[in-house]
Amino acid sequence: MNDEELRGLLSGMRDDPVPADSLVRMRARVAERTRGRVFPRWAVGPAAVAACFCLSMFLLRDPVRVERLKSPVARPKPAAAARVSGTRPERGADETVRRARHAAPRQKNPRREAQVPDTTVIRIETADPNVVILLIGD
Amino acid sequence: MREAALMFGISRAAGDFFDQVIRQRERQVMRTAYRMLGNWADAEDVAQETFLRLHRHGLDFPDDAALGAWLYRVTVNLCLDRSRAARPGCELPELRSDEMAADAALLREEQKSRLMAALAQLPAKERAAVTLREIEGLSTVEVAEVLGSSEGTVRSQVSKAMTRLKQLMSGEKR
Repeated sequence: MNDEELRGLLSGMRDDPVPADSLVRMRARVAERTRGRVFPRWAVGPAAVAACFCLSMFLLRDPVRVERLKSPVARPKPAAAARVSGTRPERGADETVRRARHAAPRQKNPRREAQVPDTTVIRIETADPNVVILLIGD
Repeated sequence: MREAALMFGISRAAGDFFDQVIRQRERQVMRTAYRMLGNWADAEDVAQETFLRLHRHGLDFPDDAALGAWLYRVTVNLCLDRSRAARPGCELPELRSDEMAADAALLREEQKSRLMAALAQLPAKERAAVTLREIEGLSTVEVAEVLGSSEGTVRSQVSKAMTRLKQLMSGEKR
């Protein structure tokens, strides 16, 4: 076999048919792998940005909600902060705390009330420390 | 909602275009892989991987020739990786007697199958060079670009491959 014959044989292979079932299988496998995602990879970034934008717009739309979100953050009370820094707390700094403490109604002990008799005792101390005059009246 | 629909539309259009590209180029990729690997099952796997890489890469090529060169490069590289993993061990089929191969078409088919077996015995780089240069009809410059070597190297590889193929086809053994 000479060069020309070999070249002719090689170039003749260029148009050899490809089995149709191989092509179909290959196409199906490629489609299966590429169609798994609804969006191509490049679309993930813009979609994420759009989602963040929508979320931030939703949160900023309602200022009350923003306030509610801020409230759980621990803020030092002015008096406590002053105590830590060693300075004198401002007048009325603990007012809210004190008011809150006093605002709660004190519960009376019903047993103690029952034990205490409804009598009046007048204690008169004389010049002599050993002599004390007690006046008891109903 | 409209943005999502638009994005879905773009995605679908891109998918359709990708399908078109596959249909235009699948024969080129499959044939090259078959010449390099010697069987259609492996050629299918390589073609699939080539098109998946194209999908990841995107279809942003300056022209059709650039796309073709890219596909050849990826196909040949995948075939070279496979060839390194498993050396082909196929034997050349024996020539049948003249009575059996009287028909010219049958003789040609037989010669082709012998040529395929001979190609399988070449070193992978030489096989790639002769496949692209002599079967696919690429220029030496294009083959050098695809293989990432110089024109001189490609000429030398093609020349060596042709000499070896002639020896194998004539039934000579080294």
